[in-house]
Parts: sequence; structure tokens; C-alpha cells
Amino acid sequence: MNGWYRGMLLALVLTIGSERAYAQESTSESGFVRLDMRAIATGSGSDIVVDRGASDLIEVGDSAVFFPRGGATRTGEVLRVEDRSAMVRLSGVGQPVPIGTRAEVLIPRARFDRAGEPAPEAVSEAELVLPDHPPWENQDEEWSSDKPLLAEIKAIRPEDRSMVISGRVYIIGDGTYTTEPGRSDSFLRVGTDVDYLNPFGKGGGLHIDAEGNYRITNTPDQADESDFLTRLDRFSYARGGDRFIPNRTEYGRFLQRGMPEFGVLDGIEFGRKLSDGEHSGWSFGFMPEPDAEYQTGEDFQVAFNRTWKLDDFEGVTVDGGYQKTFHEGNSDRDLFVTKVVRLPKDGWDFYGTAWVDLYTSGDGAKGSGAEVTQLHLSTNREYEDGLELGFTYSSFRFPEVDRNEYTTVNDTELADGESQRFWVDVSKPRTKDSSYVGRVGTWRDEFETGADLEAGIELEDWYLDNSLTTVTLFGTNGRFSNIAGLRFAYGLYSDSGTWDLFAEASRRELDDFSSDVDELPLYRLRLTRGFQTKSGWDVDLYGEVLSWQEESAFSLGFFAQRGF
Amino acid sequence: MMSQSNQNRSRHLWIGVAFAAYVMVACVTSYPRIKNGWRDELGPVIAHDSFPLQCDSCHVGGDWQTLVEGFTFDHEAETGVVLNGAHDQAQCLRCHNDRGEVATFVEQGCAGCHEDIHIGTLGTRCDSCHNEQTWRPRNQVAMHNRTGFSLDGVHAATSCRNCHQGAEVGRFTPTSSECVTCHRDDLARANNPNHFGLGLIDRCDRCHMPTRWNQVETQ
Repeated sequence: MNGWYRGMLLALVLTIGSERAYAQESTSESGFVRLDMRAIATGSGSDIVVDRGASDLIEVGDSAVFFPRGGATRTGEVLRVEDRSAMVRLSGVGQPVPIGTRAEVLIPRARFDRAGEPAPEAVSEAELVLPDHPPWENQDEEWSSDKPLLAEIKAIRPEDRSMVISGRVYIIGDGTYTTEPGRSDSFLRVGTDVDYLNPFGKGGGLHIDAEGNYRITNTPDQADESDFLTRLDRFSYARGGDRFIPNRTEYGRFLQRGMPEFGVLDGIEFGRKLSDGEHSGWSFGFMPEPDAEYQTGEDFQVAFNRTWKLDDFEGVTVDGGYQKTFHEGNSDRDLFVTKVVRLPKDGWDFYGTAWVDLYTSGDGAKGSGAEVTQLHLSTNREYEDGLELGFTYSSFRFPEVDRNEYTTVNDTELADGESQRFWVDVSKPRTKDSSYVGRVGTWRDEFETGADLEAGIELEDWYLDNSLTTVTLFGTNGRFSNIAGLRFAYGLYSDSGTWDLFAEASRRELDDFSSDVDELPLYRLRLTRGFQTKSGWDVDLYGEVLSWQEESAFSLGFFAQRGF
Repeated sequence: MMSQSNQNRSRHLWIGVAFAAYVMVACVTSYPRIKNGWRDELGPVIAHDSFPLQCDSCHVGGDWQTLVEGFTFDHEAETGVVLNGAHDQAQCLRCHNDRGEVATFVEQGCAGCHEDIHIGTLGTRCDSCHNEQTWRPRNQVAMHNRTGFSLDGVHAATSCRNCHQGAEVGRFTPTSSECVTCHRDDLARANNPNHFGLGLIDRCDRCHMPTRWNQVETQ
């Protein structure tokens, strides 16, 4: 069908079919802009939904013409208009209009003038001819009944994709100087995360995370220290674990995915997707020491894990895993980890994880048997009125391991050392822009017990739009001191960046000291400015002053990162 | 005090690190940064069946792989989901990738997409320390007060790594609150009076206050 015929047909339709358009504009096509559209759904009876709407300046009463592939042009009138779609009622009797059928509507140019939008220039027939398309290379995927009929576009398989490098670099600098002469601590950190997609044409990804740290610590009366350490946090190649290849394999240095609790690995991890979201996996390799250097080669591990999905509706999953480690070739740790997660659509969520160490007669400080060395339980809920409640319990005991994992632990601490905490968080809306926040907690270790309490208010858009203000009163009963204080935080967020002001004033009463020296006031003031440069760097600059008695410390620092 | 050779070594290291930083910055800044990090060659990696049928919103004619120049996607307007802070700048593929429906992972909270470098030892409430504006932690001093070992005086201006050896890699496992755990070297150096000789090897807080770095204040 040529353009002249379509124009005449539309003019005829507009003349006899649309009283509104007829009254407004001449029926000459030059007074209209032709708008192409498609039938995207069928409604009841002879109603058709098209993919153009109010945003294209279509109005109720406009007339449309449909051009089915087999001929038998149908006309209709727009009955209802949404932002990006419209419903057209076909007039007369004829063959049904299939979904996907091309259609046209003429929009009066005057309507563009009213809307303050420039009307598109008329398109010549020559311009309507699309250039020849090169032969299609991708093959259609097999269709099955569970797939939609429309817009099923073949996704490019990972192995067919171009090699792409992306990632970020970051630079952090920080210096802390005190009023005590010769005392300072500063560092400069440069790091990068790089993702190299499909580097070998197999569809996997190469991931590299690395950083270098340079530190200088100046101490009066002692030799100053400086060191430069580089660390490779990740260097791995992973493939699979997606909708194309259910089984996932990762080689190199990486944080274990199946059970992150087992830590960073220099080795191989294999994961297998099972039905209904369950999966299992195993891994083996060396474990770098979890410190600034990640030295490796002394600790070897094998591990297994399994995830069960118990309840789809409540979102309940259970993970179980076992890790066996060897330190310098000798048997070291038998660790069982279990994790339960409940994520219902509504109601209390739950997260719990328990680390259970199994000891044998060779573990002198603990003796044979099992011990829960880490336990984390938390449950939270948000009610319809905005009230949020959260209960959290956490406990830790030092496991008896040969691996260099914890800051010096002696036999007494191994036997008796413990850290337990329980706290309740609450947030209750006060008005549309403010809410009360509070927290009460208790702690316990092998020496003492204590508690902490915080109560405050959060104000949105106080004084300035796009701001968040928090004022908090707090008190702590600690092992060596009791604290009472006030905290004030003001954050301003806008397109030009962020400002964060943090101030804290507290009075600390030190235990076991005479009354003239047992009070320690402490003041902290911190200002942070965040912004993005035109070249794409995200930058944070901050300065901080900390003051207590006759001493003060000043910190200046920056954090800059850029994605690529 | 730092010896001359150490000072030279230190100066060279600073210069070396600064130069490496400069090279890295120069290289990366010359690399194109694209809003949301989308590139033509990534292709349609996610199913389009829920997308609008106005293909030309994103594609140019004749080639599905090429997106319109200046392609942007208003996530809030198109999906109703607001992306704040760093999420607004993130690459689309960080979330929309071959793993499956994003909604499945969103339900899992931060852990649905982010690796837990704390290996499960700090719970699931990432927003206690982090926010969407920056992943840098905040309020650590305030939170430390809740552990029973409040950071008084000089402790509030001390690097975490001095007591938590895994701090540089995100491991904040508890450390015993006994002073000697972190001050073992200080105890070994204390010879006026000779602490070891006098048996003064524990309960440092009987004499020392946490107010100064080195000099002690006694009752």
C-alpha cells in the first residue's frame, strides 16, 4: 500500500469517522502528522489496544486505521487513552485484527502546537525505505509453551558475547595527627576491581581485585614504622551458575560463594543448581591468612555445602556446610555451619547462623566434644503503620585452631573467653517526615556484663530539603567506663553532592579512679563532602577533630573511585 | 627516630605509590564512563518479554545490538523502583544478568547481590554500617561502645587494625578486652618501673588511663 493511498484513506476516515477531528482540522494530510503504531492486545468484542497513547498526543475520538497483512483494512475510533497505550473500537464488521498488526493515526499539527512540542517533519517515502539488513546470524531459540509469544528475543549466550572489561579504581588517603609531638598515623591505599567478561570465548568471567597499602606510623620515643603491602583479594575465573549453565565452577582466589562463612580460598569451588532453587557444592584449596597480606600455603581445606528450600511462600531456606582444615599438613579444624533464612512477604523475617566446632582429644584447651563458637540470630518486622522492630542476638567464643586467625589468644581466653550481645531496635514514625528511633542492648563477656541505651529522633527535610537530621541521646555501661552523651548528625543530599556533619559530645566516667581524674569529656566533630566530578570520579573529602582532656587528634582524608 | 636510610626508603615509597596512583588515574580517566555502564556489545542478556513494545526507545533500526545514542533508562519511571546513590550509577548487568529474575535477589536484601566479605560474622543488617551513598562504613566508634569496650580517649583515634588483625579484609572478629592483648609490646618495653620484674602484667587500668598515647597517668 503506497503512501498516497494511505493518506487518502485516512483523510476519508477522518472526514466521515471522527466528528471531533473533522471539526478541528482540514482533512488534508499536510495538516496532520502520521503516527505509526501496533496492535498489542485485544479487548472485549471489537476493541484493540495499541502501543501509542497520551504521551504521543493521541486523544479520545481520534480515528485509526489498521492494516492486517492479509488486506481487509479496518478502521476504528479511540475510546480510551493511557499514557503509553490506547484502546480503539473497530467500526463495522470484518475480519479480526491480529495482535501485531500495523496501524496509523493522524494527529493534527495544532495539537503539537498546544502541547508546545515541535511537530515531527513529514517523512518522505524514500526515507521510509529501510536499508538492506545483513543476514541474521542468530538462530531462534526453541519455543515452548511456557514462553510468551511476543517479544521473545534470543539472549546472547555468554560465550557469544564480546570481551568486555569493566570495573573500578579507588584511592583512599587518610592522615591522623595528634597534639602529642611526633605522633601520627597515615596511609595511602590504591586499589582496583576488574571484571573481564568472556576472556577466553567460553562465556566465563575473569575477576581481579587488588590493592596496595602504604602506611607510616610515627611514635614518640620509638622507631617509626612504614610498610607497603600489596594484596590480591581476588583473582579468579568463574563460569556457569546461570540460566544457561546451571553448574558453576570457579578457579583461583575468591570468596567462596556456596558458603561464604568458609572464607577466601585459593583453589576450586564447584556449585550445582538443583531443582526448585536448591543447590549443593564443594571446594578445596588453600586458605589465605585473613590479614593485610593474605599469605597462603599453610592452611588447606575441603568443604561441602547444601541448600534446601523448605517453603516457597515463606521463603524459608536452610544451608548446611562442613569444612575440614589442615594446618601445615596436620589436622586442624572441623567446622559445621548451618544457616536458616526466612523471608516472608509479610511478617517477621528471620536470619540465624550457627558455627559449631568439633573438637577431639588433640584439642587440649577445649577437650573433645562440640561447641557453638559463633551464633547470630535476628528477626525483624515492619508493620503497615511504619513501626519497625528488630531483635538480634550474637555470641562468639574463640575456637581452638592452629591457623593464625585471631589476635593473640591464650589458653585461658580459649577456655573462658566469650562475647555475647542482645539488642532491640525500634523505629516508630512520628509524622510524615519524622520518626522516633531507639535501641536497648546488653552485653556480656567473661569479665562483666553491661548495657547500652539510645533514644533519638530522625527528621527528614528539616531546615533544608533533601536533608536527614538525627539527634540521639545515648548511654553505655561498659567494662572500663560509663558513658552519657549526645550525638547530632545532619546529612544533605542533592544532585550536586552530599554534605554530612557529625558531632558528638560525651562524658565518660572511668572505673576505679579517684574522683579528680575519673571524668573524661570527649568531643568529636566530623564534616564530609561527597561529589562527582565531570570525569566521573566519586569523591569524598572529610576532616575530623577529636578532643579529650588536654589532647586532640585531627584527621584529614579522601576517598575517590571511578567506574569504567 | 627514623634513620636516614629509612627516611629515604620511605620517601621513595611515597613517590612510587603516588606515581602508581597517578598512572592509574590517568588511564582510567581516559577510559569512557557510560551512565549505567551499558554497552552495545553486551547484547540482550535478559529476557525482554516484559519490556514496552516501542523497540525504538532503545534500539536503532536494522540492528538489535546497537542502542540509540545517549541511551538512558529512567529506572524509577519505567519500573517504579527507585535507585539511590551508588545504585543509580551501577552497571545494569550488576543486577540484571544471567542469574535470573532480579526480584528473587531483591527479596534477599543486600546479600542477594553483594558478597559478604564479613563471612556472616556481622549479621545481615548491612545498613547498620553502610548506606547507599557510599559503601564506606560510618559510626564505627559509636557502635564499638555497644560492645562493652568503649573507645575512650586515644582508643577513639586508633586504627581498627591495631586490635583487629583482619580489619583490612573486613574481618572484625572480637578481640579480648584485656589490655595486654593489644598492648603486649608496650608491656615488654615498660622498664620504668620494670613491669615484668614487679609482676605488673595485668589489670593495667589500675594505674593507666586511656587519655594519652604513651605517657601514663596514675591514680
